[in-house]
Amino acid sequence: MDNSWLLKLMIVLMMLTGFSGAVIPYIFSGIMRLKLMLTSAIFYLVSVILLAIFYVKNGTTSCMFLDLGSFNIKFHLEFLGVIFLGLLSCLWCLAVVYSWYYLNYNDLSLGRRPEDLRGPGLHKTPEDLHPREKGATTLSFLTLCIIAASLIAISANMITMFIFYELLTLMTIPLVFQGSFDDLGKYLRPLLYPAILLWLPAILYINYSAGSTDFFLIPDLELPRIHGVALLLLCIFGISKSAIMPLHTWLPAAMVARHPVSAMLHSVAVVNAGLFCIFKIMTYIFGFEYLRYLVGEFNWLIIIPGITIIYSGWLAFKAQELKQVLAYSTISQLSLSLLGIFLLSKAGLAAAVIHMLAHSAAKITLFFAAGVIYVTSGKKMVSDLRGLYYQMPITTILFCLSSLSLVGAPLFAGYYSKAYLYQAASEEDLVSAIITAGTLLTCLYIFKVVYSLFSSGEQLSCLALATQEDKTLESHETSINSQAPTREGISRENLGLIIPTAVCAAATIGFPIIAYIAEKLLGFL
Amino acid sequence: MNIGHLIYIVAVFIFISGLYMMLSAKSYIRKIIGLGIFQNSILIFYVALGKARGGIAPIDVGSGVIYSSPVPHVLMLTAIVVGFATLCLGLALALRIEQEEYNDKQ
Amino acid sequence: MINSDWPILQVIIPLFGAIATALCFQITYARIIAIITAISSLAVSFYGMITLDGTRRYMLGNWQAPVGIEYRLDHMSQPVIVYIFVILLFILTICRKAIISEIEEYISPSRRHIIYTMILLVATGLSGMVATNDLFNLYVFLEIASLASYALISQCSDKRAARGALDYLILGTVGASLILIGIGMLYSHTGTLNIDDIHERLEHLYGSRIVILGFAFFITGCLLKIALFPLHFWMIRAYEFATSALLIYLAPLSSIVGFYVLVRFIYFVADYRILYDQLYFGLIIKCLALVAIVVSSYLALKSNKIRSLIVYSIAAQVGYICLMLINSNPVAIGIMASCLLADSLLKIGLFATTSDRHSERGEATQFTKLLLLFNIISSAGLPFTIGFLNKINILSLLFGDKEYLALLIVIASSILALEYHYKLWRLVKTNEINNSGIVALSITSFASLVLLIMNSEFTRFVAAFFAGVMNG
Repeated sequence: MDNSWLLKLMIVLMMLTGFSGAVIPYIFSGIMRLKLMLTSAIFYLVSVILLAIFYVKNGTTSCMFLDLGSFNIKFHLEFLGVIFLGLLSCLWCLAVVYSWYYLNYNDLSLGRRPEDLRGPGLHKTPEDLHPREKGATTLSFLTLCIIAASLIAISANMITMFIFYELLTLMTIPLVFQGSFDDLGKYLRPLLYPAILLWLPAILYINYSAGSTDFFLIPDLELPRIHGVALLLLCIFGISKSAIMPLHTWLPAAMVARHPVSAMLHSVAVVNAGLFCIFKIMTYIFGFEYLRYLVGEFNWLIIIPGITIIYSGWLAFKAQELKQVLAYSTISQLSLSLLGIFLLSKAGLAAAVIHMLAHSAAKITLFFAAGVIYVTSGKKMVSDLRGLYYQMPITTILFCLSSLSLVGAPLFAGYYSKAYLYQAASEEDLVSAIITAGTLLTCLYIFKVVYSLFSSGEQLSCLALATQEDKTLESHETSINSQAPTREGISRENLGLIIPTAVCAAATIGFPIIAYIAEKLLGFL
Repeated sequence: MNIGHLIYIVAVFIFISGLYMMLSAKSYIRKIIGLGIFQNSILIFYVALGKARGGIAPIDVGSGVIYSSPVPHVLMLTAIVVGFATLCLGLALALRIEQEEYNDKQ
Repeated sequence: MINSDWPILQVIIPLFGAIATALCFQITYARIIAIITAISSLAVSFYGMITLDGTRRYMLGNWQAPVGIEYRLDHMSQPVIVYIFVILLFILTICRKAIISEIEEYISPSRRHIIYTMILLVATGLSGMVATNDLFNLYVFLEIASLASYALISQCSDKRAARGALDYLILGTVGASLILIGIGMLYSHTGTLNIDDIHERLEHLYGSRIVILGFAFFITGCLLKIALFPLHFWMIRAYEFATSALLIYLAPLSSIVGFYVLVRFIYFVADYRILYDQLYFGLIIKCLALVAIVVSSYLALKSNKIRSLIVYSIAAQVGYICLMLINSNPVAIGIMASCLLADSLLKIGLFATTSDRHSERGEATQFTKLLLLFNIISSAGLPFTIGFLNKINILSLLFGDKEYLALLIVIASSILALEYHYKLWRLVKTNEINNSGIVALSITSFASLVLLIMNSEFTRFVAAFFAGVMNG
């Protein structure tokens, strides 16, 4: 390809802007860190836009990066990857701002101005012995995770995808690790082992029979049907980042991480990477006709996400902690997306992709809002959220907007994605039933939270709860003072927390435009 | 299997007894002695290889005589030296271990 | 002189250096002489590697081949010799302080210089083993290297090292004696000790039982040297208490040279086709290797000390390498070489920085921890490191050969490897991380990255060499 060198250049540019974002937190601190990271995120977005333009002009190109004998690292651009890249880069800009404000909330709320937050030695109180390092690891590794996810997005063969998939898992380790190795094991085992036990043999088998693991080589392999089915199941269950039951346990375990991490990674980057891998494998390696041949008359594939949707919806309803509710909700929504592609048609793929986008926008807003709640008032449990509307109206409104999108209320993003899903499942009654059941469960668990947010007459007990929570929370995460909690306004410390949340919520409303663009892209199918 | 093979059977016997002593002895000194016996069996084996049928010892007495091969003798000189060095090293280490145990008991 | 005599010079210079260090009674002079010796032998061997064209044979004392002792240097042996001297120089310069603080402190001042004698004697023995083309000469250098390493292993602040060294001595001598018996049996039927000559003469003799027995003894001795299950006990006991500075030197080199001798025997002395097809040696070694992988991974998981965990990890790696060894595909030998090199580099890094003592000082620097984490990830076989590349190469080769049992065991052991490396990381975090090993760690991490990028050329080079050997 003539333009492969140009593609290589642009990919390197993208990686460089990403890596600069990983290095900046260790060099700068304070407000400079925020400004520089935001700049690097914007450059990253610009490079992704350039890649998108390149794709639109030149179609699918691929370029080889590293030749390692029988395997090689190759990248290419195609529409699924470009969509995923776009999602990552847009949300990353917002997440950078949010993360910085979240991590520095204590300093800001104790009255320091953002411009004053610089290196060590500024204020000699015990908490800020190392203010420079607060959050440096988090920001840096968040950037590295985004880079790894984007490299998954542009992978041109399965082995590259596998390598960066595992790298993504490894990069999330410092973010999830909160001091206990056993919990980390609970997080890592369901992520690493299925990939090595199940996905890797499938990759090797495909490499052996087809000669390479590239996409765009839809194999006419003449495999026996049982081998094809086995390969398919190995790939599906091996990619445990898509959180199918029973390999979903890592996601609730990952919720020990901080809110920016949960928001960006465990609802956007990591889980969508899992979905993306499955999409790509099913579309390009297997191909829809071959898949329809494999499953036979009754599409038993849909049972896999079907069980997940219903059971995780039920678990979300029963969960006590806000983040656990959101985690199980993520699992449920991801399986809705998988249900779309398991319909084995182009309409299904389109619906799945749009649902992935809609869910990302909604879920990241929900996590952002949960983070704001946690960092201002220290509340984690759903039961503590009663009457929060009266203290924090803005956050509550944003939470409700995105939960409406999650449910699928008209005019919101979720409505469009569910509409496409129903459309794609028009012949199959079982699928429509599952989607409906899933939506009902979503309503149940999310409106449980919303109801308690809005329930009135509990302001006084809120006050009491707030002052009680004082003693039980870690001191460096909250800034509770014993005065009466004031009504939330846009203050210096909240600025960076509220604005990204609002932008993401706006994205869920303004979604029709995005959906239109997405559908035009899908027309390239 | 003729009478000439008797020497090899002896060598195997010494090999096995040396090996048994090494494996079953409790004390390190016995193990080292077993090692020495084990290495001696190899010496016998090699030197026996060099004997030619009807040959005399490899000392020059002129021509027209069949000599046994001197090469294995030479090789085994080296092996004897190696065995000796191993024995010394083993004994030194055993002495060190005994001293440590003695010091520990104090 | 160098141009014509470098094959012997690279073995003689460390020998004379050893004698010189034994004769000087001042410790500083001993160190200086040791470093000078290391540098000059590295220079000579490097010169030899660059000017090597095909195979270079050197007759000792101008006695011609089957009668005299011959050295044979080719593209398989010369890089190994260079590697030996690189590691020697590495340990003498970079781990200087570690040697001083961990070993010399515990020896009486009048005898401290002997340590350098021993180190140089090990280098002599190993390089002689690799360079020679004569079987008995191989045995002699093997014993030189082994005796010196027994003496080295016993030097440690921890007094239990002497016991480990004595166990190592007994088992190592048994192994060398088995090799000697094997040589004797082959000599009895061929009448010569020269490797090429034996290869020619054995062509008609494969039916003889003595010859097969000779093969069996020799290979068993070699298996003991490389520590394949069930002959790996000496490694567990010897390396557990030894000093890390010396382990950096001894562990990778003895492994690599052990495999070198085995490969040299299988491909250059005996006919590998006979060994694998008619005599089922390949099958036996494969079974042992599979058992080694499983048992070592399991024992690594159960052990609670860092040092024994690393040693069991070495034993498991030996299993993988043996699986590749018995596959007569040249590509497999290339992968084997890459595995060996990667494993030795990673273990150098691990041994240099970890110790079993609990942390008295504060935490190590972030950079050390990061490098150590990279090293552990590499060793565990996670992307995007050399360990991962080796693993998927092994797996795809096994897949291509339809060895499904081996494939299953390697995949299962990868999971176990992840588990015990995770345990290793946990133990390392609570124990002391030696900041002084950071230079060693960075150099080996960098080298493993270079190996990763150059892996395909490296594998192809080795494979081409072996394809030539196997065909001609």
